[in-house]
Amino acid sequence: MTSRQIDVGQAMPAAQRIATIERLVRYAGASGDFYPMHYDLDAAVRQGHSDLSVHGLLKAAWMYQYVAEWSAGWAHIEELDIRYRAMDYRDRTIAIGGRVEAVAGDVIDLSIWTANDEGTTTTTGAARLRTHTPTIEEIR
Amino acid sequence: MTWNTVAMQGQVGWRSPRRVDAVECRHARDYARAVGLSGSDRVQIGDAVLPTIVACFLTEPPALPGVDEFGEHWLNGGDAFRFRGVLRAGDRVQSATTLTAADLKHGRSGPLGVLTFVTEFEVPGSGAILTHTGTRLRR
Repeated sequence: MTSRQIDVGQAMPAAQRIATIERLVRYAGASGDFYPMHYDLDAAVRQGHSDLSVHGLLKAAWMYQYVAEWSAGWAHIEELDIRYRAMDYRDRTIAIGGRVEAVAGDVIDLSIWTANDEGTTTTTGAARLRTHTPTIEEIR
Repeated sequence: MTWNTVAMQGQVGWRSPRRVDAVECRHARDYARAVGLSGSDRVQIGDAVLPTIVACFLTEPPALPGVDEFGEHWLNGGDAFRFRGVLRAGDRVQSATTLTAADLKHGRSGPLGVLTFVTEFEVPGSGAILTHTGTRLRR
């Protein structure tokens, strides 16, 4: 795929993720984020949540992957901006989608989002890609 | 619940102690597995890693002094990343976090503190690799 095939308004292929209790535990262990609302149901309920909530930074990682997989081999991500609008909970299907918002030269701007299994948008975001992939020498 | 807006806004400019984290192969593999990235069984020194692994080098929730004076609970309002270079297994990452803004908003469930933390990640010899801006909420 090349940038010449990218059109404004183009939808990105939909994806899905589910945060099982195992994934929440693995993520807490890897990241060190043991805030109780992610693993202690009583604590989550005391905070007004209906279940264990998915770490925001886990969703951010999913959205990074989502964009990176779509642009693999022809662009790299320069910026990713994620806003959490509502909680996502364990064992619920999270849909991920995106759309091309602008193309200017070698820069592509995307809007991205997640929605829960009730259709509520839970995350909104934006990503900026650049179609030139720098060499290691340029980076280092 | 106590809510000391003056104390909250007085923390703007707070800077965390500088920390150094190694991007270890095993950790990079475990992080990739944790976020569900397939084909991540082998990570070797020099391999590019998922840059969002820097989330592991943030202190979450933030260790902001005096935070009990404004709100009881943390929520994550947003995360923004500006990528400047490739992070590799074996890199040693230096970082420090600064509280750059603290605003009070009134939501349906009461006061909400909106705190903006900016963290610069650098690899010595390579310069800035990534800037993370975290919006964290106190409710």
